[in-house]
Amino acid sequence: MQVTISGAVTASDRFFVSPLTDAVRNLNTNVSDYRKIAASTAAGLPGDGTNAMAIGSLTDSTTTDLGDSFNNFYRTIVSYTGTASRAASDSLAFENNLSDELNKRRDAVSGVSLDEEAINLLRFQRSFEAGARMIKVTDELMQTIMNL
Amino acid sequence: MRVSSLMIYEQLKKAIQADIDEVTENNLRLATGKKINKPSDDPVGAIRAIDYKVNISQNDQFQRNIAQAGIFLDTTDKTITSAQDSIGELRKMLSLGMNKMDPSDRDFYSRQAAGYRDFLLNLSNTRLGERHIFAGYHTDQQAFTFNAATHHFDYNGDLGQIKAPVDRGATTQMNIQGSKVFSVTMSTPTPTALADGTPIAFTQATDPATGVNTITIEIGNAGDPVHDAFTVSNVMDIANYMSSAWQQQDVDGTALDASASVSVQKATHRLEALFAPLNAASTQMLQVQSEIGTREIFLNDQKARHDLHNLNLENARAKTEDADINETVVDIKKAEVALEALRSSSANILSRSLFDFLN
Repeated sequence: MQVTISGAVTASDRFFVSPLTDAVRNLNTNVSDYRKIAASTAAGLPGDGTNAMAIGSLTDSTTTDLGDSFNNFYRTIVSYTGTASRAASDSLAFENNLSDELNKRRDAVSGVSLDEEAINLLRFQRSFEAGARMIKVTDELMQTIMNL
Repeated sequence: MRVSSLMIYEQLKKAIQADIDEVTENNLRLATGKKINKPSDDPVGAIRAIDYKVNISQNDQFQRNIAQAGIFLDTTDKTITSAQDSIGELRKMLSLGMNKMDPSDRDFYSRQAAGYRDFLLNLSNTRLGERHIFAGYHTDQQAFTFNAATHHFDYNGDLGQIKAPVDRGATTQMNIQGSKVFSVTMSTPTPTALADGTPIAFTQATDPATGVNTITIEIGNAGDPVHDAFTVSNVMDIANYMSSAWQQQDVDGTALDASASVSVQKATHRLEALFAPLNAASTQMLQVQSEIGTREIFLNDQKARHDLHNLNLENARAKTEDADINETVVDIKKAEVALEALRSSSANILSRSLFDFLN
């Protein structure tokens, strides 16, 4: 990374450096030729692969910045991701079960049963029929009285 | 609990969804052949499978390195065998032609020696792909070249050992430096006199940077008419001196002496003197071949061990990660039967209500 300040620097000047801004978009490599990889310990020794072997051995040896080997670091990421994902799935299943149970309880109180409603319809229909019959009988009685 | 119509719908919907989920999961296992398709399927198993795969991948790379080192060593071995044959021919020529006086015979031997010199130079510059195998780390350069100024053959390589990892923490050297094969180390004791009693002395000087031994051969005592001294540092130099000696010349083409009779004597002395370094070169090449043989045995052992190790790792990986196809097919069938039964019963339950029974 290179920072060039072309103007005069004053006390209140600030600049912001973010290695993550547009990091993916601007990610590229300067090594376009594999022969330019510094695989040897000195220039001009094409047969010397000492550095390449040292790079290869990073797989299993601890790197200061990672605090671990590349291999173990990757294992840790996979382990963490797998466990977190599994825990999230388990948690989702639990919450869904809880939600289902609560919905059941609510529907048990407020839900509509077609059979129940049919029975109620029949009941009210019969009540209505009974009432109508009563009115009819009463009307007939009144008619008889009126005709006396 | 009071059961409402909505509850029945919801319950059936969820049960059907769960069955379809199971069928889909099992189908994925069948399609990929793996029971762990993502780390959350089995976090512990996934880590173990990664470990196995990393080990298998490393072993595969070691196997490729072993194959590459094997090709390198095999080419080196075959080249040295050819060089040995040439040196054997040169020794035969020395035995048969050292005392030849007939000019046509000497010319024949000279040409023969020059031919073997050029052949040995070609062998010393053997390439595998683009790499000169005898140049140490300087694989882009010819290992030996003729120096027109000194009329000797120079080694352009170094003592670089090209190593290949063949196991965790174990490497093997793939190359043999040209200075170890074509340069000559005189074994002690060295001869002190020629057949006619002329004293002879061999002095060795080693260049620590390249490993090249320069042998100064001094024949006779200083002041003697036949006193002669010359240096050789590799088998090409030896063949070159032989070729010139049969012409009764020095390597720069000049006469060995102003007197024809002394020239003949010096040439004969030189030819006899070159016996010892030629024998030493032959012994040295045998030793190098023996070293190559040991390395190849080591590589074969490593290869066999990696093969076995890979088989064990592959078995362990398969047990951890791979799906049992029979079991998965049975599971799919079970889930499908359950789904069918559920659909059938759902159709019956959902299509009927009390209304259907009322006239």
